[in-house]
Order: sequence, then structure tokens, then C-alpha cells
Amino acid sequence: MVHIMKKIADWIVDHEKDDAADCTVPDEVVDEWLETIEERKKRMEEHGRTDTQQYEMLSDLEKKVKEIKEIRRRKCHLGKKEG
Amino acid sequence: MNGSELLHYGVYFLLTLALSTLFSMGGVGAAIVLVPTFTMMGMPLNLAKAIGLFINSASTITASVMNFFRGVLDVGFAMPLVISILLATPVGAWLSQYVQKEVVEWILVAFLLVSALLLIFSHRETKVVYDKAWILYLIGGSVGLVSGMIGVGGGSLIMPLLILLGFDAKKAAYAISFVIPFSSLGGFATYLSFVHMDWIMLGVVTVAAIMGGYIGDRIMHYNLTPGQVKKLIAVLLLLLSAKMVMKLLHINV
Repeated sequence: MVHIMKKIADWIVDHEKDDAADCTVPDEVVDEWLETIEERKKRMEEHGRTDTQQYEMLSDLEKKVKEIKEIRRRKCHLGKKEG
Repeated sequence: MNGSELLHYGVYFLLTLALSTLFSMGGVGAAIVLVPTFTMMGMPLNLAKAIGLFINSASTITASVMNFFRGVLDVGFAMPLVISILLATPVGAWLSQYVQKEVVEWILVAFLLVSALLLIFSHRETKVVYDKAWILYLIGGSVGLVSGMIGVGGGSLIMPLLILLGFDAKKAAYAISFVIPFSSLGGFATYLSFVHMDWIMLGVVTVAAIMGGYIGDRIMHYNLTPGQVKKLIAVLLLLLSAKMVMKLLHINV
């Protein structure tokens, strides 16, 4: 079940990458998204639930959101510095 | 289906889509405005209430599914609210026979106004401060009692409480959109037992509510900062309190 949910989560985040990578979206939005995922992971670590599929799903999501941040850094902020 | 029926359902579809989108952006259900609007358009009150409750569930379930897969919905955090609301709402409904409804409604109006003004004018750093389970049980229990007593949606009451306690506006919205279906679907089932349901209408507005939930949630997630969500919620609370004052003063527009 969690495996299927992980697939759906991957699909949704991939599908929404364009939205998040849009430079008109404030940095605060993506930072807060990443912060929420990190907070949840931290809480699961405190409760010793790091070997669960849910933790794995969150870790993958965290990677994807970091990728989005990196895309934004190259696409939006580099352009700003040059301009 | 003839042309006038199409137009009839089309108007309900567009209204539901617009209001569900707006309210999903604030994480709360739209029934609070849709029920009086549907009634003004000629729908029987109990049918409007039943459909309104179902719409609340449909739009917030959509938003919750999206938020779960984005990793931002923490089901464990929302569970104390779900449990306490489910337990307290029937108690509130039972208590309503002993408490003067108008008094509770005026207190509620004052609460909504103060919350809205604090949300607009306070610049407090929104970091989670009181995130212990007991406080969530207390909030859920109190909100369940009041919403059961006067028959309003729990979301618009929990939202200001959580934000004023220091919870981040977006995180509170994610949690509340998960709580609403539990409180609304029970009420819908009750109405269904004695209301003659217009199933085509229910289907049409449900599709609109699901679309509204999806659009509103995406706007909130990607285009609004927690500060903007707070202001949007404040405006919704002001509209809600204005509507309650008009009802209490028997002003019909």
C-alpha cells in the first residue's frame, strides 16, 4: 500500500515541478515545504521510526524538493545576479 | 436534460467551484457560505445543508490527498483533533437544548472578530509553540462542543485558535482540511436519513467541489506565503461574522 502511495507521491511532485520551479513563486513557499518535510522526518527519527516505508517516502520527497530548490537557484537567482 | 436544467445545474456548478476554490485556499470548507446562498436560490434548507456538508468533505478530502502526497500533511498531528471533535460534536448537539443558542452565537461572533483582527494586525513570528497532544484534544473538544451546539463548521473555529497559539498558518490549514471530512460526513449521513436528495445536483456540485479543492490547494501551496494565508483566513472570518450578525439581527439581504 505504502509502495503504491509512494508512486503516486512521486507522480504528483514530478507533475508539480513546473509550478514550484516557476520563478514567480516566492522562495519562502519552497523553503517552508522543505522545512515541513524535515520537521516530520525529525519527529519520526525521535520516535525511532526510520525503518518504515513512510520515512522512506518522506526522504524521497525531501530529495525531490531539494532538486526543485537547486533548479530555482540556477534558473531564478543566477539570472537575478547577472541582471 | 433540457436547456433550462443545464443552465440551472451550470449556475450551481460555477458557484460551488468559485467558493470551494476560495475556501480551500484558507483550508476550511465552503458550506458556511454555500448553504445560505443555495437557500437564497430556492433550494430547501435541509437539502442545502446536506449538500453543503458533502461539498465541505469533497473539497477538503481532495486538498488532504494532495497534501499527504506532498509530505506536508501530518496525519499523526491531526488525529487528536479528529478524535476529540468526533466525540464532542454530538455532546454539543445534545447540550444545545439547554443553552440559549443566540447567546452562544453572539459569543462566537465576538471570538471571530477578535481572531480576525489579531490575524490582520499581529506580526508575531509563527513558530509552533504549543504542539502537545493534550492542547489539540482540548481545542478539538471545545470546538466540537460549540460547533455541535450551534451547527457551524468546525474548521473556521479551529483555524484562528491554532494560529493564535502560534501554529504556522499553512500547517494549520493542512491539518484542518484533514479534520473537516470526519466532522462533515457524519452530519451528511444524518441529513440523508430524512432529506429527499437531488442526486444529479449532488453529483454536479461534488465535481465542482473536488475541482475547487484541487485548484485552491495548489494556489495555497505554491502561490501564497503563510502570512498571506493568515490574511485570507482573517477576511473569511470577517465575512463569516458579518453573516452571523445579519442572521442574529434578522437582516435579510
